[in-house]
Amino acid sequence: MKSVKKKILVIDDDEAVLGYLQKKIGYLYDLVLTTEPGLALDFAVREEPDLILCDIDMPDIDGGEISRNFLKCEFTRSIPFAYLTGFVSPSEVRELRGNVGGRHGIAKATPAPEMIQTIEQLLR
Amino acid sequence: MSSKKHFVRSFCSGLIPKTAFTIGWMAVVAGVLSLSVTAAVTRDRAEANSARELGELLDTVESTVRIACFVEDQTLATEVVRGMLKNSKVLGVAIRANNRELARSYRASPGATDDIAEFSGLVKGGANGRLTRRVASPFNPEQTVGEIVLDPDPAAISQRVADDVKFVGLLLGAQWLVIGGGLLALVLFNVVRPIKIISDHLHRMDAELGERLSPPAGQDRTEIGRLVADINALASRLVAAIDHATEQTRQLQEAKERVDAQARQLEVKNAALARAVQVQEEVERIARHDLKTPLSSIAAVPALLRRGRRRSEEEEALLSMIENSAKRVLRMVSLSLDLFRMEEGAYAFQPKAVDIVALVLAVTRDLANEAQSRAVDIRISGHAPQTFVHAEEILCYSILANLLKNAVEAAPERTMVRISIEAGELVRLSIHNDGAVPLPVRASFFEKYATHGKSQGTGLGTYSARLMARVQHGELTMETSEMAGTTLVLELLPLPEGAVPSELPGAGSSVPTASSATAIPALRILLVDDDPDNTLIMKLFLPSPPLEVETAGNGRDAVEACRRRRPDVIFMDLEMPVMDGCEALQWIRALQAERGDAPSKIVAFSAHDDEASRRRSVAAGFDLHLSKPSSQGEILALLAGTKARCGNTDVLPEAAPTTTVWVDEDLFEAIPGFLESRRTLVALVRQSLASGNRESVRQLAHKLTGSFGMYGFVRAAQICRELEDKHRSADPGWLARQVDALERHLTHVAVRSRTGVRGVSTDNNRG
Repeated sequence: MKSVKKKILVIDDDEAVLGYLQKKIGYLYDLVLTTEPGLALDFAVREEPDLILCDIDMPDIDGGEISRNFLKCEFTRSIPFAYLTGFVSPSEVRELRGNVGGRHGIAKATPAPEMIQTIEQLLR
Repeated sequence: MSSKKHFVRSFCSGLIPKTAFTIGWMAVVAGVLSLSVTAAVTRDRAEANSARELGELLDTVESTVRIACFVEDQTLATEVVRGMLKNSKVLGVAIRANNRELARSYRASPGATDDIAEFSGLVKGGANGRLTRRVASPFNPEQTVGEIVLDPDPAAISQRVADDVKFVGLLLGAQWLVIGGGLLALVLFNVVRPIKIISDHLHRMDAELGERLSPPAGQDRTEIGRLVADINALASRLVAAIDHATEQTRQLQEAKERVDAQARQLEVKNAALARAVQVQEEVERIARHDLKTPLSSIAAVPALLRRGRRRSEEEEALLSMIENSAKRVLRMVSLSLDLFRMEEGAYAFQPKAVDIVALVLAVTRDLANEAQSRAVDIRISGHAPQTFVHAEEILCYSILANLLKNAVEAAPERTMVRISIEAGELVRLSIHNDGAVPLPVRASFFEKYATHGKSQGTGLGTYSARLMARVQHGELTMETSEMAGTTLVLELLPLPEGAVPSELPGAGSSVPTASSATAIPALRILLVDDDPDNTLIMKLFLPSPPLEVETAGNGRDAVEACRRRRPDVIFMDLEMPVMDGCEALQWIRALQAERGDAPSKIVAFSAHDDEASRRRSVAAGFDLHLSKPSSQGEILALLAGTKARCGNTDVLPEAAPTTTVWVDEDLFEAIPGFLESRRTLVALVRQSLASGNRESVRQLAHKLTGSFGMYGFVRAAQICRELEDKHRSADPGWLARQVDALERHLTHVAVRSRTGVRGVSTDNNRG
């Protein structure tokens, strides 16, 4: 009865972050993880995820540029996109009404249940 | 006008006119062809006949002319010539004898007006079919005596031929008319008309109403008759196919309507179910919060009243009654909620050392009166003074109470209920009575709502007993027969090797002692709860001095209290008006981080004691989750392990050597690897700091902030956040000290799995 898991592409250069997400939300979603921000666009085009979670502060290429690249590409433009970042705390995200740098934002320190709730809203 | 044209066009395109036109046209062509052939043949024959007639004329006169030429008798010759000229086809005749002309005569004609002309015409006529007959001597046929020259009259011959051709043409034409007309009529009547009739009939026929073609009269056995039969058969098959398809469509439509109706019913049921679930959740909420909170207050009152002066025996009995009743109701509420969770598979089993023998004795004591009234004796055999199982006390108590009560009720009067306990690979407890389980319920003994012969039986007792046994990784089985009676066998896990029962689980709560109070450091406590009774009880629990207790009625008041002065420990209710516990926690953490205060130990103090609530509390950033009701002992034990701290310092907050980070069970195994990778990053921070690469310090600190925040290392995340924020402005010494603090914190931090926390006392005893 349960539908197929939604696919989420996560871009973060820190493997600990990916490991955490795998443990905390991996049982709910089909996670595609990459620590190579430069390959993110190719990944997204190939995997056709339902949501993209992207870190902001990464070496070589930052989240803002990745976001712009996704917006430029016709295959990825319509995929929901959110920053998953340590720049802001969960309360700051709440104050910003979930808007970080013009896109959706999730604080890395967000408790897992709340994170899942936000992801579900983004997937809707 | 146009309709007239249309009629003409449609008429012309009809079968009959077309056929008539085609056959008529073919008849005309064939007639013309046959007439021309006949005319040519007739002309040739007529010309041949004329030549033959003229030859016969010459034959007739030859004997007479022979004599006339032999005697050269002009008169006879003239007479012969005249006679020959009576034939209309003869234009002129000359008879010569020995190069002397005996007689010659020409019919007057438009082409010969004088002799010369006649002659020349003769000459001309000779070229045009003149006949010359040699005349032999009557006595010697070899001797020629003269000749007859005959010029035929071409006009007369032509006229004759034309007459003949005209006659034959007329005859043939008439014959063609008769034959062609007959043929046409035959085709039209026998072939075309029946087809036309069938076509018209077919055009008007409604096959679905059962109409069929009938063959035209006299055509029953012809191809047309067979065609009609074939068409009728085809029509029948088509109608049957259409009927079949229509029937199927109708059935499909009906099926669809049925499915739609069922879907609507299902929707209605779903809505009802959703409402039921809502009601259930509401009831659960009431049970948990609204029922448990006041009950825990009631249960705590006797312990408080016992303090101070001595009570009389009667007063003590009343206090015990209040205490026991409140605790029993609390247990029932908790157990009913737990059963629900067990059924949902959401129950988290948290085993401890439980002395099963002590429990059996306690239950037996409770049942003593009932057993006596039924004249049933309870005997316990084959057990050591203590037998520990790895289980939950409340669940074991519940199972035993249920099974033993059943056994006492089912045992015949003046018989015995035997209990035996054997320790082995599993601890095996069997309860036997001489009664047999009635046949109708044997197969469904452990099923939900299966009951027999009890007016107030819910059918949940044995069901929940087995459920609880299984949740504890044990099993509950039953054997029964009329001869042997009934034996229930409960198997439970023994205590794992190496585990030592730290404390005997007692039936009542541990009574606070003066010694435990003296071990309490001087702490500033903030109690946050919207229930004044709860606050009162808690206040009475907390000895002051050494504790300094302040209260707040909701989250906002709590934040204000923290703003005024930093408490060492905060007991925070979760569900409160104005601002709830989680939000207040965030505010307080932010406030203290901003001020550089050491974070207070914030304990979620809630009536919710399920796993999801614990998980939520720890994930939200609470240091601990303590469920209401908690005994004074538990609370004081918690405080005994907390160090007092001077807040507001200018020096860097150093991580307490014994800081504990509570992580979710699922993350626990990943923690060593995580900490190792973080230490590597911290080493990189130090390197970058040494080389003066502040941007690298920022990047690494940022990375650490995010990951520490995620894994619940709040303090570490806080230090890294400060590093990140001040990477450019702060002096290198300060930054280095921050890194030192972080390293120290990571070295000393104790990581605990959150599932180990149910009562704090357990944790403290083990820790």
